[in-house]
This record gives sequence, C-alpha cells and structure tokens, in this order.
Amino acid sequence: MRGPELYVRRDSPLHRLDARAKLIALAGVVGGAALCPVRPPWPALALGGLLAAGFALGRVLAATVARRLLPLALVIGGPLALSRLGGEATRLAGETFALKSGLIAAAFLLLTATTRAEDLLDAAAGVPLLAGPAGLAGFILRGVHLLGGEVVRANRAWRLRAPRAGARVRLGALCAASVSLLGRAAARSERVGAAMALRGFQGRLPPPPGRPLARRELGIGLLVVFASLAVAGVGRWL
Amino acid sequence: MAVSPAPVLRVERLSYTYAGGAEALRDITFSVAPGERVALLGPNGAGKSTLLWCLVGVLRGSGTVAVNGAVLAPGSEAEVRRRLGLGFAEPEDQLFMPTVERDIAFGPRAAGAPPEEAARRAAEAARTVGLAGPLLSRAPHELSSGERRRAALAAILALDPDVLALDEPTNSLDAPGRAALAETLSRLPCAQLLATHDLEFVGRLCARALVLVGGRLVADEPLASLLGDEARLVAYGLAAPREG
Repeated sequence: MRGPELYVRRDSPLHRLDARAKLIALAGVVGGAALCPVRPPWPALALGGLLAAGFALGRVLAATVARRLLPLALVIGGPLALSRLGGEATRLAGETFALKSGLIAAAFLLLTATTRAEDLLDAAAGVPLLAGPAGLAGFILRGVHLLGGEVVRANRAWRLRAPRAGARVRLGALCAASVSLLGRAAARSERVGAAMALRGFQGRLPPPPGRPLARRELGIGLLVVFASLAVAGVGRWL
Repeated sequence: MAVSPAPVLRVERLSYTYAGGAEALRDITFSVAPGERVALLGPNGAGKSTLLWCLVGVLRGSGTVAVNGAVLAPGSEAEVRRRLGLGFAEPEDQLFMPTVERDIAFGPRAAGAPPEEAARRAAEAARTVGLAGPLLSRAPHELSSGERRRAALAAILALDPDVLALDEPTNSLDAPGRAALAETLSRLPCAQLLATHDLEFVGRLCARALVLVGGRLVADEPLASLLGDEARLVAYGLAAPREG
C-alpha cells in the first residue's frame, strides 16, 4: 500500500531503516521543534540541518521536498506575513508558528517519503495509543486507493463519451459522478464489512506480526531523539 | 443397503424478500453431501447470490439453514460462517488487509490462533491455490484478477471450511485461469456449491446441478442430464436459442 503520492521509491539507508526507529526519531524531532526557541535562530537552523541531512540520506530530491511543502507554504506563510503587520509579540508569535510548523511538517514529510504507508501503519500499530487509529488509517488508505481507481475509470468513461464537453457539462458530470461514486463506495464498504464478519472479525484487528527492533536501529532512533532535544535544550538554556 | 451420509449443508423452505417487497427466494429446499460438488445455475437475477448470502446469515431469510449440524439462528452465525466459507463475485471486496499474506492469515488470527499457527495455515492455504513467494507480501490491489481470485480463495481455505460456496468463481478469469481454478477445486476435500453461468466450468467439476429461476428451485438433478437437454437450458435462460 502506498500513501497517496507521499512515498518516494528509493533504495537508501533511510528507506531500509525500520519504521519503528523512524517513528522514535520523529517523536524526537517533533519534541525538539516544539521546545526549540525562535531566537537565537541557530537551534532551529541546527534542527533544519538535521532534517536536510535526512533528506540527503534518503535521496529525496530538493525539488520533491519543495513541491510537497509548497501547499503548506500558504498555511504557514499567510499567518507569518500577517503577523508582520502587528507589534513585537505578534511578530514573535507568527515566527514561532511558522518555524515550528515548518520543522514538524518537514519531519513528517521525511518520514512519509522514506517509509511505505503499510510499514508505517504496522509500526504505529505497535504503539498502544496509536494501534486503533493506525488500523483505521490502513482501511482509509485502502479505501482511498479503491475509490481513486473508481474515480480514474469514471473520468475516462465520461471523457470517452463527451470528449469536447464544455465547462457546464463537465461540472454536471462531476456532480453526477460524485453521487454515483459515493453510492458505489457505500455498497462496497458493506461488502467489505460482510467479508470481515464472515471471517470472524469481532471489532478488533489482529496485531501485525511482531519482531524485535534491532539494537542498532533503536540506537539510531534514540540518537536522533537525543540530538533534537539537546539542540532545543541548549538553545533554551543559552 | 448403503446408508447415505448426513448432509453437510441442509436448506429447508428458505425464502427471502427484499425490503422493497421483491421476493428473491421462495421455498428453497436442498441438501449437499460431504465432499459433493454442486453447481448452482440460473440466469441473471435468479437469486443465486441472494441464496449464498442467506446461507451465511448476511441476509436473513425464513426457513432453515444448517451447516454440518450448526443451525443458522441469531447467535450462531459465527459458527455457521466458520463452517461455510463464502467467496464473493468480486474478490477485491473480500481482501482488506495490507498484504496478501496477512489477509489470508486474518481468519485464523480472528479465530484466536496464535501468530505462528495462523502463519502456517495461511502458508498452507496459499500453497493450495498456487500463491507463493513475493506475491504474498504484495498489497491485494497490486495483484491481477486471477491472483486476487486465488488470494480470496486461500483466505477462505485458511479457515478450513466444511462447505465452500463460490459466487461466480470464473468472473474475469481467462481460460488458463479457469482451468487452474477448476484443478484447485477438484483437489479440495470439502463440499462445494458453485454459483455460476459458466456451464463448461461446472461441467468439469460437478455431477449435480440446482437450477434457480425467478427465486424458485426448478431443477435438482444430475448435471449431465441437464446439459444434454438444450430445450430446457434455453427455457431456464442458461443458453441462447439457436438461430434459424
């Protein structure tokens, strides 16, 4: 299973690293970003450098990173630009939001670009509080894939029948197709639900087959946690 | 005098009416002996799929359904479903786990089997249907139609059912795929109820045919005698009339 357009298929040390180690590292980077002071800027730059090293190690191209962070630029850049109109406190709040959101978004992007969705969900299923949401996310992802296939086929079908349709016809077709697709998705979900019940599902998914996390991989995850928190801690202390 | 074995599937006076009032099944009665392979034939809309859904209690009809002694009733659905495995017409709807291997192992795991035991049963079921190697670690949607059909069958077989009921098992299968499926089914020891329009396919496997038309069971007889009677095949909507 692939997340929609998130995973970048490569063979890199970061791709090969166990998803659980990457989740540990992510927790460290998110914690570091949350604690990281905005001024002076060097702790944030150090965390950014750590993430940049991760992207390089994962052989994720800068253009890919830029393209995927672009939609977030509006969400982050808008409030930042508006905050420049206010006083010192507003400006600081805007910078804090932009910096921390940017770092956290980049960390998630690095994780999803180097980890297949199924491995990520398996890793998340091993975390007590995340097990339920991870199972649910797996179903949603599979549903998204199935629905995506239906959308592509429906799109092809109406284009073949109305290749020169105007905007009004297209809009009408889009509305009609959406209703039809939702109906089909509901019918399919009924059948999938029945398939699960027929094979003994009683409301709880069996956990994924477990295997211990190798010490080396655990060490890498913990090292990233330590480095992230140390940078943020020293930044705050100084 | 030889004593016939107790039926593994017994259906008595089964009727089902859809919520809108359309009568889908009326007074269906038949039984299937252990290890017997029976073709369930009928034109589109005859009620074949509805009958299969009623056998596992997804649709609740009136009448009696018993699978190897377990009578379908509120509270006993799980036991009936463990004994009767149903294969859907669209195998894609039946595969819902992230990988094929885990999908096949889902049933045994849900039944409480330890992971190693579930994995062993999944591997055995996969071997039975001819799935192996990298295919098992792939996502179900990455498989071809034939592979998905085999994966869905393996997912049912991992539960070791007494009766296998398959809805349109040859849908979207090419000729080699149909031959391979027939070969696999011919090796299975469990009783089978194969709902299909594919007369050539069931001709390889089944000695007996049930014919549903308009929700009623109109024939229960040796398949060979039915296949040899073209007039009745046409009358039942199982064959097109010859021109001229």
